[in-house]
Amino acid sequence: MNMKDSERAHRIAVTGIGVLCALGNEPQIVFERMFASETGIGTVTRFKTDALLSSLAGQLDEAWRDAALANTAEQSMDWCARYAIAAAKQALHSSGLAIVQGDAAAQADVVNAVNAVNAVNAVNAVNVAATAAVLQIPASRIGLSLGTCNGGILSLEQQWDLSALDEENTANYPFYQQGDDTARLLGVQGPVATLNTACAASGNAIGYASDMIRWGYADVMLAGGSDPLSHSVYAGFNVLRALNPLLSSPFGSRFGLNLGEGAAFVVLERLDAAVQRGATIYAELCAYGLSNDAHHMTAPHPEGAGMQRAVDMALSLAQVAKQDIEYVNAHGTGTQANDRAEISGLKRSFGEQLTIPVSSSKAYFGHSLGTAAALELVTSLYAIKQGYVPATLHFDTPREGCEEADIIQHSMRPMRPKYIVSNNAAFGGHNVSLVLRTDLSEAATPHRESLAEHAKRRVVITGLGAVGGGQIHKGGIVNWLAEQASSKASGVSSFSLKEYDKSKYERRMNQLSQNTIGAALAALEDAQITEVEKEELGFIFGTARGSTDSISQYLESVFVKGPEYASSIYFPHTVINSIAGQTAEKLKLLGFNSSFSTGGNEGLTAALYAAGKIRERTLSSCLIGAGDECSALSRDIDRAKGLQASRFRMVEGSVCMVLCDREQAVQRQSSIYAELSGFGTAFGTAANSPQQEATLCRAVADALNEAGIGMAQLDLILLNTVGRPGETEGERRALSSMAAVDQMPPILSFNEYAGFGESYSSMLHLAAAAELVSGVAASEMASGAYAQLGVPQQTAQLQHVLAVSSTVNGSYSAAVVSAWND
Amino acid sequence: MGVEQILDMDTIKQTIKQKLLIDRLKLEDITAEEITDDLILFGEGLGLDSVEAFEVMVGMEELYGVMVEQIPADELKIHLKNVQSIAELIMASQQKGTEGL
Repeated sequence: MNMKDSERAHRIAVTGIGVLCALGNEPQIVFERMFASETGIGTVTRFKTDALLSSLAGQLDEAWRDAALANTAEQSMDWCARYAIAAAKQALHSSGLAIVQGDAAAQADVVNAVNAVNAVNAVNAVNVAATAAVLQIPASRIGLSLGTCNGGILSLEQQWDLSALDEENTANYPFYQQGDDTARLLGVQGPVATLNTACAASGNAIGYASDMIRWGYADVMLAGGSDPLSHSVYAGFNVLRALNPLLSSPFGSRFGLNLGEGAAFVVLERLDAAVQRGATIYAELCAYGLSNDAHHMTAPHPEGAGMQRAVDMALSLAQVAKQDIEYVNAHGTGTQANDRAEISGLKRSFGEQLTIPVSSSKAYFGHSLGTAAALELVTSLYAIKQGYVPATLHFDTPREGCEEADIIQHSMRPMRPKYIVSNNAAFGGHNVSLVLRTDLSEAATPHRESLAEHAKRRVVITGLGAVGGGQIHKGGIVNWLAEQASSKASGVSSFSLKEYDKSKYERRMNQLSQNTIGAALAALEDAQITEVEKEELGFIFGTARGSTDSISQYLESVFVKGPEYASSIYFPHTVINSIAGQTAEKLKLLGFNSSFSTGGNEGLTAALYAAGKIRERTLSSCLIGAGDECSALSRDIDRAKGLQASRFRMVEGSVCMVLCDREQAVQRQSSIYAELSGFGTAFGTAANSPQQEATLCRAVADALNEAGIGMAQLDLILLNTVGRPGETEGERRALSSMAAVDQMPPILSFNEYAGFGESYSSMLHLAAAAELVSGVAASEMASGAYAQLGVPQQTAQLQHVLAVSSTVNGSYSAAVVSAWND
Repeated sequence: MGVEQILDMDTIKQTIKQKLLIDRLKLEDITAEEITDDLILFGEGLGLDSVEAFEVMVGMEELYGVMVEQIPADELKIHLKNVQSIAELIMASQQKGTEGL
């Protein structure tokens, strides 16, 4: 690799796009209709809107919906996954890549594949196009990240009765199910996650995907968003009076939005690989920024301060000068609260004289919620390739605060911008900003740190907090587990944040928010994070289901009383980033903020995401968290997922940890629990046990490889198993197959004592691993205090503990937690 | 319609305090007796926010059939100022509803 190649190695290209929206089901058709200034917004036909304030939305043509069913009609899936599959397939096809299954393929990596293609091409130039069109990517080297605002909510709406939920449809509801079903149908086996940051979700998914490639966890990623039009979500925007009875005019005189639906995907890969294989490159994704307003659950910060922070982060990471940004695709929903605040935020970023052309694409196809960021990006990139940027339809006169902005109105403007920014904002205060280089004529090479340096920065754990069994713990998690193991006492009471710290509590705060804020407070205190440090702190939170209690309260109001009586106070919690959002609001966590679901790997995934961000110097410290809540709805989901057959009782709880750059931790004299030295993640389906065991082995091998150790160096394995019949035995078998009998470390699971929660247990095991390798634990272990847990009584400090987690659908993640040796 | 259909002001106020505010919004640490008729509900006073205002409106429709959709936002703010003004809005709407019957 020459110098140029190594620079390109972690630069990311967009090489495939797919789209499904009210204007069309492929990029060219959508472009032509946008070019003709057509809108896809019309009268809602999918449900009755008589009693509501608007009857408009950007619905998909029924024929396209039917087409989205092709080849999957017999399979049980939510429409959210179906839309995503249609758009992801399109994107993959347009990229000229194909996924190849099987073990042989898993041995190859994409660079070898590219080289092989080039070798063939050199010999037979005639076949260049044909060969490039079928370039095969091993399934294990391609991942998928999906952004969704409401997950499989249609699977609950289909039943319209929470008191009698079935198993088949209910199993399709969880957010993570959408990403998992899409990945399964596409044949993806690399990292898979469902980002749930509401209307910013697919922007976050695209950013996350670029990280997975830059950090080496995948060579190619499919990333996008999906949200079908939902009756109950429509009713929620109705009760908040956010719907426009007329065609929405972002930045214009008429307040209110029109909802839309659909899915959009991009294919991301390394720029060098894309150039080498002669792929069509739509843009270079230079960087992305995330933030949280920490202001209000539904309303944006009135001056757009959160949006400003996301844009500034993206620009700074991209190392692109503000004057080089020649087009901004704004969130521009049309609501009274959003548009003015957004323009204000842009002014704060780019200067009071905002001369950059700005437009909102939402008047073309409506506000497609979790899909919005991906849809608006994909359609912008396609238009820019044709020499145009999207316009804001239906714009009349600028509303207050938007007078001086250069809003592109009515028809697309002929332009070939050098760089563009694409922004989205969400309920829960989450913001995302993407920076892309769209002028690919010259090889502009913003200089970024090399991969070698990225690997050098080390990540340590400096704070632990948990709320479990109704109690709050600041560190001391293994001691608590040991107590549980001896007494077998199960906590019956719930943790009360109101009693613990009333200043962080507010009325109707659901149990998951209370637990998470409690755990976060404990972890921050344990790490001695100051108020000033908190402003720069990242916050990454994983929850499989969010507050199922709040979600039920809302759906109950719609299903029982009717959509016109939808409850405004519970609606903001149907988006499950509300937990992270409320935590950020109460703790004033303004920086890099994300929320996601995997359905069981949340703890390890949050750690992987945060560690990567610290290693690459985007963050110097990050709070991570994971949590679940028990409710009647969660018990129905448990039943649908076969969790009632688990050997463990289902529990609720939250765990938080503070991760920190090693140098900074040493400098500020933090006490360090452990070092995070390696991660691995692999997507699989629990179709059969050999396949599931192979997935586990892949995740573990990758984690050991990144940590630079073998199974023989492990002192202990903490296995967070779901515990359904046969599952744990299979997992133990798989782990045992990876080491010689005499080198096999003990395998322990603490779910027997603490109970099981998809997200909670994953981080609880990671936190326990961190304590067990810390110096503090050594004396406890020597005294036999942890014997009840099965931890060997020994005097030597443990050096490496492996934490393994599985999702209910059969994916695995692993992390090597190592002793911190000064 | 009979006279008994026309609700008296005190009953309405009591219902607003208990059902519309305390029960519906799950207010904590406050009783109906502590909510005076002139206590400011939004922003200061009781400290309710805009999302809760929408819940109150839905509640008025559910409990009394009062439709506030056509009332402009600025005017609505005045009607939702305190228990007294909400009760007056409900009374006015009830009378309007029974006129001509």
